[in-house]
Amino acid sequence: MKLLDCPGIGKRPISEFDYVGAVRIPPSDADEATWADYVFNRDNAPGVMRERWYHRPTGRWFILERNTLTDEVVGLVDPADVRYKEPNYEVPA
Amino acid sequence: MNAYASTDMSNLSLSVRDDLCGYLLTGPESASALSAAGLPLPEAQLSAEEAGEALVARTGSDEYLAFLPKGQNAPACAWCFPRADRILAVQGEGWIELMAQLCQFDFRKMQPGDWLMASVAGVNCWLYREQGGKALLIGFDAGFDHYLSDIFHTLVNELGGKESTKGGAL
Amino acid sequence: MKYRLDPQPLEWIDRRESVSFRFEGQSFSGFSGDSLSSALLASGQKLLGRSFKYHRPRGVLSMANHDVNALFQSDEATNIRGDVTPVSEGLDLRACNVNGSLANDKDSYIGLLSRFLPVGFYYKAFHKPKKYFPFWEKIIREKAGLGEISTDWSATRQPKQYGFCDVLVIGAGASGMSAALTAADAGADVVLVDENPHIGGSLDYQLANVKEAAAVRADLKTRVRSHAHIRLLEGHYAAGWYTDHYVPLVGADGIVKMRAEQVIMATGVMEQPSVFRNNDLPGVMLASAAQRLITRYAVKPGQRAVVLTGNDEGYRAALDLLEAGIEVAAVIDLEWLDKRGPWAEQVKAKNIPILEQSAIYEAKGKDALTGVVVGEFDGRGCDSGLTRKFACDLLLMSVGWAPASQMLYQSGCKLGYDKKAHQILPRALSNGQHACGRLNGAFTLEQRLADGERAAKDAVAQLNGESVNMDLTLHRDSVAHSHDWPIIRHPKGKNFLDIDEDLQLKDLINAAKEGFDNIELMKRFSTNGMGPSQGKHSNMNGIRVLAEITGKSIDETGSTTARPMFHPVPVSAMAGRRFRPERLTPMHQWHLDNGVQLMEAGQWMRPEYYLPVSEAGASDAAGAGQIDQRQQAILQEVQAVRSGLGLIDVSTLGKIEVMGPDAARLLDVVYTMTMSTIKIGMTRYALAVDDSGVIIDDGIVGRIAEDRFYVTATTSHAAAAFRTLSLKIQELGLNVRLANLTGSMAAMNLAGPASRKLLSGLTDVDLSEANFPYLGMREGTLCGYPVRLIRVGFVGELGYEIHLPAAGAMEVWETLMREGQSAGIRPFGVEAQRILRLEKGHIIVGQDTDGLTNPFEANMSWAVPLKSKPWFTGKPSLALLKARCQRKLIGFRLPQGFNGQLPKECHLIIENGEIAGRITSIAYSPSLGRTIGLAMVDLPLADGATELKVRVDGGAMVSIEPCPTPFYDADGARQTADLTEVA
Repeated sequence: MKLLDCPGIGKRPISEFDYVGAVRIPPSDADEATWADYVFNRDNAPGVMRERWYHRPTGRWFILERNTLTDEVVGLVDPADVRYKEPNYEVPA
Repeated sequence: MNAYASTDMSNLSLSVRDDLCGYLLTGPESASALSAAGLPLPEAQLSAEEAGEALVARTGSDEYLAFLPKGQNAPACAWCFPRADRILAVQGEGWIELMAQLCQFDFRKMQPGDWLMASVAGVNCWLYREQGGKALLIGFDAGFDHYLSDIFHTLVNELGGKESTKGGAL
Repeated sequence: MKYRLDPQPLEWIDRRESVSFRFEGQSFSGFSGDSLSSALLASGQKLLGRSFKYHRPRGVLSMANHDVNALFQSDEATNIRGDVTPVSEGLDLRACNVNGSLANDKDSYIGLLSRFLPVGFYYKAFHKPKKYFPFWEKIIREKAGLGEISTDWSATRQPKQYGFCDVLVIGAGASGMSAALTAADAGADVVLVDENPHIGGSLDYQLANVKEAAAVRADLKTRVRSHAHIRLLEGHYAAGWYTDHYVPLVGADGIVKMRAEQVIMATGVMEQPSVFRNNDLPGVMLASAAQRLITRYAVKPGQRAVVLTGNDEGYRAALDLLEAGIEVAAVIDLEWLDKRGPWAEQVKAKNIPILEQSAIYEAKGKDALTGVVVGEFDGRGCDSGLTRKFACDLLLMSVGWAPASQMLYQSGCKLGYDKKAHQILPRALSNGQHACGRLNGAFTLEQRLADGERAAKDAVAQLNGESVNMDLTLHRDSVAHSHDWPIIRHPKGKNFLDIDEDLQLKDLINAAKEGFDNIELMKRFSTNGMGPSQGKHSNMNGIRVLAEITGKSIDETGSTTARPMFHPVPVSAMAGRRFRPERLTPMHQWHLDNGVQLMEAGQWMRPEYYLPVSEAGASDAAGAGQIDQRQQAILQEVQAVRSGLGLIDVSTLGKIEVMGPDAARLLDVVYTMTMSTIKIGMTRYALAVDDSGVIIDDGIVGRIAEDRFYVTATTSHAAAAFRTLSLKIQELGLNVRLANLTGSMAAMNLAGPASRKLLSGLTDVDLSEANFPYLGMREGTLCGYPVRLIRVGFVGELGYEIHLPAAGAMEVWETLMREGQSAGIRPFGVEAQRILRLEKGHIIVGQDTDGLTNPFEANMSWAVPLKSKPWFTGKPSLALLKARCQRKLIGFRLPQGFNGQLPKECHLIIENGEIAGRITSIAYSPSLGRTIGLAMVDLPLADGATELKVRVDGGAMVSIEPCPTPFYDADGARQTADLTEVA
């Protein structure tokens, strides 16, 4: 069983976590192509990625910086750093 | 099969702590409500403090789980919710070997007074090692009582321990 | 036991305890501590099995858990490995892969046909014409396989245990013990594991008669056994390497899942056979196998021996044979004697003939070895013209070693061929991994001890966070212990490279000729290394052969990676205990006491329906006998709700309290409809879609205060709903608190025309239509407990969802059941609820919707306020999808009195021979007296007029008639009005 070295709660079995992927911010007033890209495409390039992990037993979300090539957790991200305001989307007339 | 230095299992015992009532307190008023009720405020998140028969754990910046002896009033706070936790207590030297069959955590690292939230046999649980190392408390949603009590019961028997009914029948 | 030697100083057997067992119908006896093979050999039974393909006679090869031709079976078990399985009283064993008896195998003729069975024969011969393959398959399957599985088996489970340590040392030979002691002395918490029942490794079987080793052995063993920081696990093997230093240690009683900060591999080397004609005859074995037989089991492996050697160890083995009273007819050295050390001098001094630059050209014998033919060897080939013959019943092969490096490969370490050592050695290890001893090229006792110490010091330094400049070469031997080509061609073949799969040298050569000249391709085409020993005695020679054929170096040729497990692991050990969480509601005991039939809903156990308790006679009255008890119970539950009163346990609903200044903003983001406009004391339907606009959940949101809401979610989505809400709080930085009340609150739905009347006597909440309208939510007490009452309409009758802390739930439930008796109250289960909501045309997320369904397809555009709301999750997708709706959920019905074959959920709707939709829900509606359902159909068919055809089980087509929904009480009069007027 893999471990996730979470700076927030220490090394925990990865089976205690849910993973939702990279931190992404929905685009505001996006055209169709931009929105479709946001919904369906992922970069997936190896390297340091900011990812959201949910630890079920504590009910907490962590934003980890992880090198997806070496599988090393580099650091914990302050949620304030990746905060966004809900975007706007006007339905085209 | 035993990866642990063999310990005396005969004093391993399992009991139910149904003398405690749990509450979830959240929001800016939670700390003052606990203080007003004479309860301790653990400083670090994911840590716990005992006060007499009561146990308070800090599970968020202003979120707490409080376990109070039955009959004691709930802390006065608008955002205070009764919990339906089932709490098992494991006592005896062999507790680490028991837990080693149920949880991936390295319990040799768990010191008296430590609070842990982890998956035990597939169920999200909180665990607290009482001061003085008296017992390991394992709390979980009462809906899993049938499932988890059965597992603990079987394991204690297999490992050669006994059950005590202190605090309630299994 | 005529082949039993006098007591040996390190023997594993207990001569006081005799054990008897049966093999191939004959009685045998051995001593406690014997392996099956050693006990059989002690009694003179050399023939232990037949080979997989040609049914050739086979005996002992390694005595190290690689003897896959000595594979036995009992009535209970297969895959019993003779070389390592201890004897036990009363065992009744048969050799496997035998047609008839082991001694007279009727399939041994297949060996005569071997020239007609070239490599890849099965692939080529039987695939055309295709229609005959089942015929051939049956024959091949009967001939293939290693034993018969008893279908009369009983399930066994062995508990697993998690273990932790600072340093895990795998292998308790000289270097492993040295490493363990060094690390433990430095204060590390050490686990030392060895697959054998006793520690010692090759120190005990290879250096048993070496005087200088005796003191070292005694010292190491005593200290290892008594060291406070060493936990010793004998009889456990490390089965594989998994990420983050996770190494399952498998023993007779199950698996210890060990997590180690540092892992030291002291796994040693596996002796490799020489390849020559008839190298598989019983009596031909690895030198280390003979040493194991003598030292561990005091078994004499033969009477007159020839030793083939390519290293010093062969001379050691010859000396050991002499010590055991076995005549050594000759030592055949692949090279010149002057390359050898003092052991060779000792052999020479005993006047044993030594033939230099020679090899075994072929072995002779029918069912066992009777002699060998020796020829001159130039390092590549053996000259058949200049031959000498020796009569012998034992031939030892000591031509080289392959590292037990399976786990190093699995962990991604770099290994490479050392041309000086003629052995593959580790080159670079990653942090926390170490290798020492013969695995790392340290061969003398001094080197092994020093290398173990070095590895342990590296491990301890890494444990302390120090950076380590690891030098793996410090204690490596300068002398080769392997020969680079112990392989002898023979025109008549039968020179086996892989005795698991009966692969001859020519098979690999032919595979390469056919183009499979890459190590991975060759393995798969020839099956080299794919048998039960997983290449442990064939992979190295296979690499050498392929390198020779292709003219590439060993490194360029590469190696396949042996996957976990290192040895076969019983399923019972992998299964472990059964950990399958099951969740019960606070009213569970009542359900059990009242005839409930339970069903699984995720982790929850929910009432599916209740068997009628009081109307047992009614089934006769119904008379038809076609409606089974289940169906009848469900229909009665439906009718009770429609005509009187029903109560269902809905405690499994997700229940989340959402509090704080930004609570309304959060819910506006998560759900499609506007929640910030809900009035205090009212609820609203809550539909959640994902970014792509697909429906993921539904429930209700109720407003308790300006800054406080109560949210419910479907049973299966409860945890996910909490997760999503907390995620959005983090993403948007909202000032909101959540309380997950799913487990601490119970909920039940009291539904039916009589619900208001019943409740009014039990609660202080004003239930009048004016003060507590449909979709209203009120707080108050019920039977003295604080409750929230919600006017819901899921089942289409006047109804109240009652939410309260779990502690009071049972009393409230029982009170309602008791007080509701006069109104004909019945508990109802999930099945009745499904019918009730279907009559109302309400969808169930996940049943009527799938992973692609958007709200427009589910006729819920009313729940998608694209104009009035600037944002909600999935809004842009829905705005784009609105005009692109491809399919729609429609209602349909079957004719009254329909008695054909009923369509089922997921049956397909066919239009012009093409799939045009599927049924998502279907049930008999007692309220309408006919079968109704929902179907997701392609848009052109969703006009409400087109008759649809459904293909049912068996292929028949059934017509269904589209109709509007709701099917029942279309105006909703029964759930919104004062029921006294309606009824």
